[in-house]
Amino acid sequence: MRAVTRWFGRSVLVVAVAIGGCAAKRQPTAKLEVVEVALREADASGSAQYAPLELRLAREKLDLARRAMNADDPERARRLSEEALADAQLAEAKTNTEKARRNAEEVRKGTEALHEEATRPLAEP
Amino acid sequence: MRTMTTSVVVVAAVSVALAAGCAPRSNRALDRAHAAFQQAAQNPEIAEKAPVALHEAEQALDRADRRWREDRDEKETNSLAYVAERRVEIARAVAEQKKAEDEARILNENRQQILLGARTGEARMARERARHLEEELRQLHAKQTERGTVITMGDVLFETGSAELKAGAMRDLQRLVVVLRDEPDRQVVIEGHTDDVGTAEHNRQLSQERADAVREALVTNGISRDRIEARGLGESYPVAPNSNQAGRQQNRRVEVIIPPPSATAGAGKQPREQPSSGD
Repeated sequence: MRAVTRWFGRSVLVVAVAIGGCAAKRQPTAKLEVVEVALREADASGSAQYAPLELRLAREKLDLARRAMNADDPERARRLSEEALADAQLAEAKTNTEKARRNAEEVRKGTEALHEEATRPLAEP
Repeated sequence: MRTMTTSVVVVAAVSVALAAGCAPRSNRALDRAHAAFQQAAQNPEIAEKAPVALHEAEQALDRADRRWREDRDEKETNSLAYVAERRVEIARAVAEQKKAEDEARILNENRQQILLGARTGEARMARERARHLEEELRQLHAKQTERGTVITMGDVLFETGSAELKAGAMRDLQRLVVVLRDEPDRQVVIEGHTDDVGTAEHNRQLSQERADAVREALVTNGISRDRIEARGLGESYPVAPNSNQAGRQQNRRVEVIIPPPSATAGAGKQPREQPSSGD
């Protein structure tokens, strides 16, 4: 219960800060969640296999963004989370590309085999 | 008009001078992002296959540009430029993905075409084969009888008294080979016949040797030995009187019988009608 109150208090503070003064700067907390979702999606699509570098970058930056948040550096946190989001989305895009490529390759092989079979003369000689 | 142009130039010059005075004029990350975007935007494949992603990259680049113009903040601009460059890469990936998907779709269509073509092609080939076979049989003067298709090779295959195939015999036999290859499931019976000159036993033996010679020729040309039965029937089954030369010539022959496809291997062996002369 006390935790809820504390969270509520923090939210009010964040909103107040957002409204007053730095209205142009977006709220970093919401951004972190968006990055988390994008990361989960990239991971689920198979990025660990097809785009491991981008996935790792996204994870590391998300981690750094969280630390920046805790260290009271929302600007840095926002930059890092923006970058992490782009990295995670790139990871997923690359994964989808690689999967589509592999599928096309498989279809190509299958069609070639079929073509060979279709053009082979029937029966003996 | 000229005064307006002049004033624009002056304002621009002053801005440049101001900018040069207080902050670096260019940002390396931003330049790189611009270059990456230009390269992607000039690629018609990306513009065509990933317009949305490319537009998002452009917007990200604009944000970075604006930020740089506003306050030359290195950290912010670098980060925004990084994001813009990533968006360009995403556009590239999306275009590649679409390309691969298009390729798979086209290949699948080809596949359908091949399957369709194979079916119609098979039907066409079957028709052609049947027509070809008919023509070959006609050339061989094949007769359709109760025993099946009967091809009579006259005495052109062998010299008198010899069981060795004449050099020219292969041309006639070649036609037979073609027919048998076209009908790989059918058996074939080769029967040797002679006139009544010489002893019956000698004639039977000669006719057997001749039937065997024809069989060997067929085997040499790729017809399976299992399909072929060779019999020497000697002078027992004349088709013409042996009293004159023309009749004897007709009786010296090799008959190739291809039983109808419905009948099995035994069909060729069904008993023949016994000739009146008997033995």
